[in-house]
Amino acid sequence: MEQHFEKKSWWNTIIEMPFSIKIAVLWISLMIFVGLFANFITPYDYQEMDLLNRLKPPIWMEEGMWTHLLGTDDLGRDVLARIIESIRISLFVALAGTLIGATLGTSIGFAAAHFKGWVDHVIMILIDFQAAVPFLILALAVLAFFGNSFLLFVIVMGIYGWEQYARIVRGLALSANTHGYAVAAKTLGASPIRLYFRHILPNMASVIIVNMTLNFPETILVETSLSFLGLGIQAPMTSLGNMVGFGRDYLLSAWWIALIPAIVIFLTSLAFSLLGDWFRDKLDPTLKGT
Amino acid sequence: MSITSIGIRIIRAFFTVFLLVTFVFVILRLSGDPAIQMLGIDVDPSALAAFRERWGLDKSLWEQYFSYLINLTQGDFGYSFIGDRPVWDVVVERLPKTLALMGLTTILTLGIGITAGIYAALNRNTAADRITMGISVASFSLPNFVVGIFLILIFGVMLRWLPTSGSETALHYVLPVLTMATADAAIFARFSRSAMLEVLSSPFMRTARAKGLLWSQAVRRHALPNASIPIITIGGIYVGRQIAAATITENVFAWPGIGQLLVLSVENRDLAVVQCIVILVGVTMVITNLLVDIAYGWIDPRTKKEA
Repeated sequence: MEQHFEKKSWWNTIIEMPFSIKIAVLWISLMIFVGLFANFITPYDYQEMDLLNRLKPPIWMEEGMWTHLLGTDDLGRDVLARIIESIRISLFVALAGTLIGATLGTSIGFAAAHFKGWVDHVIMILIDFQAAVPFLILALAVLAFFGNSFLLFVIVMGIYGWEQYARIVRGLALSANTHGYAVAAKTLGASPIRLYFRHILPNMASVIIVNMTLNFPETILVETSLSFLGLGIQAPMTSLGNMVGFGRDYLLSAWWIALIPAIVIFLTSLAFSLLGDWFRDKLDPTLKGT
Repeated sequence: MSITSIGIRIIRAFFTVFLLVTFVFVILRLSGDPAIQMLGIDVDPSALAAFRERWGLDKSLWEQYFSYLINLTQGDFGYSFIGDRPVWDVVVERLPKTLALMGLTTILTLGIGITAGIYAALNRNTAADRITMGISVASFSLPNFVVGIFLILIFGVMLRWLPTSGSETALHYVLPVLTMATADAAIFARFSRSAMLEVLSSPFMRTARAKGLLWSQAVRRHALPNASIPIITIGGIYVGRQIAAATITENVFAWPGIGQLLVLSVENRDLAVVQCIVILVGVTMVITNLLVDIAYGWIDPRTKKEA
């Protein structure tokens, strides 16, 4: 099944995507484009204030103006420019968080499978512990105890979801160790690092990638939620969650400040979960619909 | 489930709580000198010394750790730096508001989610199924604060039907409860649909039909009870999500509960309160998971033999 899937050209894969997935891919591509080229497409610097034009509505409303397509906020900052910068920051944090989480979780999973015994027990207890306590509460505690900085915040986001990778990788590595190719590599004298990362890892790459696709939107949600509470990304930096949080105070007079980033969060998260589900069904048809 | 396996689970639960409590202590100590954090670097050294003595920070780490453990077993979580009141009192007075929110949300979530899931499963691959699951995927992708903002805009700003902050009247409950129920109803819908589909295609359903039961009788007597077993297993995840959802929702709607207190305390670095809430959440989760395990073993006879 999998080989059949891989033999198809990229073009065919795209053609055969359901309509909703095509839209999702299109939206994600747009977001990535905006994130990569934020500096070139932004109409203004995201911190630039236009004090004469504060709380101006978007262009399609009566008082809207061409110089501020999506309106301005309470300090006269251009909402479009802030959205573009926010997408850049939110995507960066989610990407860094996902990569850190995958690396950390995979390494821990390998360690559990390799050392077995008490190391395995301790890691399993840690996995259960992490899965038992809601991550948002744990993140809040860490941020309360250590204070907030951008680097610490990215690391906290990286910790999110490590236990999912660790659990999956541990299970797969345990069964892979009994397979012929792993035994052969071991007999030929491959070091444990080489065995796990050169031989076993490529064989479970698809599962890890699916988990990353599902983990990425969750990381976006945790980041934007914390930023919404004012405890994530700190001003003068901006994230989609920050914008909604600040805009909450202006819902009565200037709804666009909160609503536009809220819609961006919703569409991005929806696009990623649709893609992640589709990906998972493609790679493992037995899981379909669960 | 046998007595010994329940006993092992209880011991593991205690161990997890112990791990959590120790983790909180270590993190708290790793984060630097609490005296300097609370009072600042520029303060008079005698004030720092007095602060350390008052909170027992001048003793050795082990002594601090043991007195911390002993205090916890007596329900003593220390004093909130703000207002100088016992932390336990500060937290407990806010508990009823949060529990009320969670209770109402749970009723709504289960009602809508499970009904929708079963309905979708019974009408598999029809337009109704696809629409239900489409709504479920969409609402699952909505973070709580975004739902809250949408609801405030629609019912608070445009229609002006419902209040959007505070908790004084029954009407104040509507928007926060709807906010919290959205994502979790979606989870229950997806989960109960797949649980139901699995049961519907199992051999005992064919047997039930073969021995002459009507389709509706077979669904009611055989499919529903069996489908309810896996639904119980997501109880633990559900409680965890509810706690996170309450934390965010309370801050959207200025709801005076534990979640609002937590965020306020993190902002003010009122560490004793944060520590108490984290431990409270952890203990709640451990007890929930324990109960789910026991309930699962009790309801599903197949697990009895294995244990």
